[in-house]
Amino acid sequence: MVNIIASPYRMDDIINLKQAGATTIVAGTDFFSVRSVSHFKQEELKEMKKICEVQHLNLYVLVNRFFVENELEALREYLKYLKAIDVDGIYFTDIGVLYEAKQLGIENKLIYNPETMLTNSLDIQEYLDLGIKMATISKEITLENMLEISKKVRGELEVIIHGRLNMMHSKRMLLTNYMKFLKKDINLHNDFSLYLMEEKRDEHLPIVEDDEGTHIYTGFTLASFEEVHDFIEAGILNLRIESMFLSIDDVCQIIKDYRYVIEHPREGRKIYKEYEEKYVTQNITKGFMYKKTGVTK
Amino acid sequence: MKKVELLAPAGDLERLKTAIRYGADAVYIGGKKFSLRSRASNFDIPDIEAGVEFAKEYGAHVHVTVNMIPHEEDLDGLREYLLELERIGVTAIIVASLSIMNLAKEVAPKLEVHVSTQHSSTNSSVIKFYESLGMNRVVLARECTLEDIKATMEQANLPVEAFIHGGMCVSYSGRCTLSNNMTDRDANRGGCAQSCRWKYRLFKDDQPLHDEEKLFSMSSKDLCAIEYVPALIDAGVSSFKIEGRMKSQYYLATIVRTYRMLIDEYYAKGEVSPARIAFYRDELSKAENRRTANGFYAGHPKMQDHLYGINGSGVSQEFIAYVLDYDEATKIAKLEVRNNFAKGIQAEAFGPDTKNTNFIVDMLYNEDGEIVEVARNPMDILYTKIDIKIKKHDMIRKIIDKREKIY
Repeated sequence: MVNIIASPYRMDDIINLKQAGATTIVAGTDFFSVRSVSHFKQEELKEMKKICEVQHLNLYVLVNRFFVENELEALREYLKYLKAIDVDGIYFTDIGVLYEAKQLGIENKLIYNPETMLTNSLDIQEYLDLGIKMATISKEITLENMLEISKKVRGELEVIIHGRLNMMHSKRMLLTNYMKFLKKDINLHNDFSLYLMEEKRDEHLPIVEDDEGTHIYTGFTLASFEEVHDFIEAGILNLRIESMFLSIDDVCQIIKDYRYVIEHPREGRKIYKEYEEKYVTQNITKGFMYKKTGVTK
Repeated sequence: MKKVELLAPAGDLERLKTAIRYGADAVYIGGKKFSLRSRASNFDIPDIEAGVEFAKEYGAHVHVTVNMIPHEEDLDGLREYLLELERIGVTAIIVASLSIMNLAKEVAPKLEVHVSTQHSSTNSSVIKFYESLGMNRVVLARECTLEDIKATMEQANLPVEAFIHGGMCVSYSGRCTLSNNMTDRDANRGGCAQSCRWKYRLFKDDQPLHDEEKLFSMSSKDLCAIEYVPALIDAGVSSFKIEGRMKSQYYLATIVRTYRMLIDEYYAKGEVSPARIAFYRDELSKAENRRTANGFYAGHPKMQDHLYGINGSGVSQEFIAYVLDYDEATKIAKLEVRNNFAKGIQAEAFGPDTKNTNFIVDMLYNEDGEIVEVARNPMDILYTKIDIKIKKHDMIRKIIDKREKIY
């Protein structure tokens, strides 16, 4: 079954996402989640789990920060809590989370999403063979590579099919420091309306500084309407929509459009073109799906 | 207590030899395949073998970076390559890919596997995970503070390696695709274009927030952990890593020798005075080509730890000659020219066993015996009389008033 994964911004969004065709929702909490569009209280997760059960939705949780030593105790407690409320999936990026989850016997809930690091079938297979639930294929490789990986790998795979993609995470407070350097008394922390332009380039690169540091997103918005069928045919059934910089109405419409294209594969090109024309400022592209990277210019 | 390892980078065989002569306990090098920093990866198997042979004479070790994050098409020949590295006596490989780690353990078990900093390992649970897989060492993320490292070391069993000097990624290592996005060059396969160090305009809702004269940049100052060396030794770190496989022979000699002296002094005396720290800092500054700061050791980097409005990577002109030979009887030195210098200037000799010693450059002449007023051509061979005692493989630098230095 095709699993469409998306994040609600508020509790009320869950029903809307379900109606649009989502089968899994992703929740973020303070401290443990980075680049999350939501920051639910831990108690709220329990309530969400109940709603999800009634609605036949999966609940995945983001535990995707890097932990330093004195944060491990909080991680352990949180994993115990997630085990107790029986969430369906836990995204992680710090290998320490895998170690701690194994101690609790819940590694089968884990989804390894180290952003840039899962680019070949052998590595992905190694992680899946450790007993985790799923692995997220890196978004910086070609469609051909992704499909080849899926052919070779035994286990659950996820791809991000839509949205602005994270391309850099620094632990540093880069915007606060820059404002200090300019001697400007402007607070840019947690401001989601900022973007960078490289001095010789036109692309607008969203930049966000929060308590976890500084994040920069792609100047484009990925859309995979033409490729979603290829993913499904190759056996990649977990398809995530990145909700950052979108509204709940946008996300619901996007889900409906993917559901439509999954039913009507020949319409993919048409829908892609419509998005290109309708969302000019989002700069709709196909990311790295047809763009090979190398080591030289 | 086992003495901490001083681990230096080397871009080619010549620099490998320099690093070891100047005091490195181990060097890490990049093979032509499967390595990041592809432009600094000049070692084919015979070169690596020669490097291993040379290192053995000094009781030193060679580590090879096999740290790319491969794509489907990049894995051909890996098994054979690992077998070759094991056969020629490489001590360790530095690896980021889990499948390469496990493959190495399976086919080349004599190779130690060190988990690359590309994994941004910041806690003991990560280290315990790799311990459970049979790996031998973890390189910590450069995002760890001294306090983080101390706390981690109390819980970790595997040997841990920490960076003490050199370039810093502004991003968590391995998690940055600025280069991929802006230049199609894959940072995790050795193509990083250092797009973080470029200049950017910053806007809020299309209103500029930047200053046109001082554009935004994500360029970090280089790491210099000189003040933290004693505390890191006390914390139980096993290896101190210097970054910079692209850096020059002179840079390497200066940095390695300085940390060598500092480490040895701490082990001998149990302390290093502020005056000695200042001396070591001054030594390092003689080869500095980008300004330095404490990285994360003192806590989160602040405004003054970043480079704004300047590229920051200049080439030092201080290194003027390499000593190819020295005749103690006649006091004639055979020099290989590196940067422009003239008779009569103040110079400083230094070497693996030669303390910093000042002298004035005497008459210079070439191999035909002709007098040379100014040494202009790099790699020319010149002779001069140097009254202080120096040795083959020493280096000569100009003495520069630091105020003259332009950043």
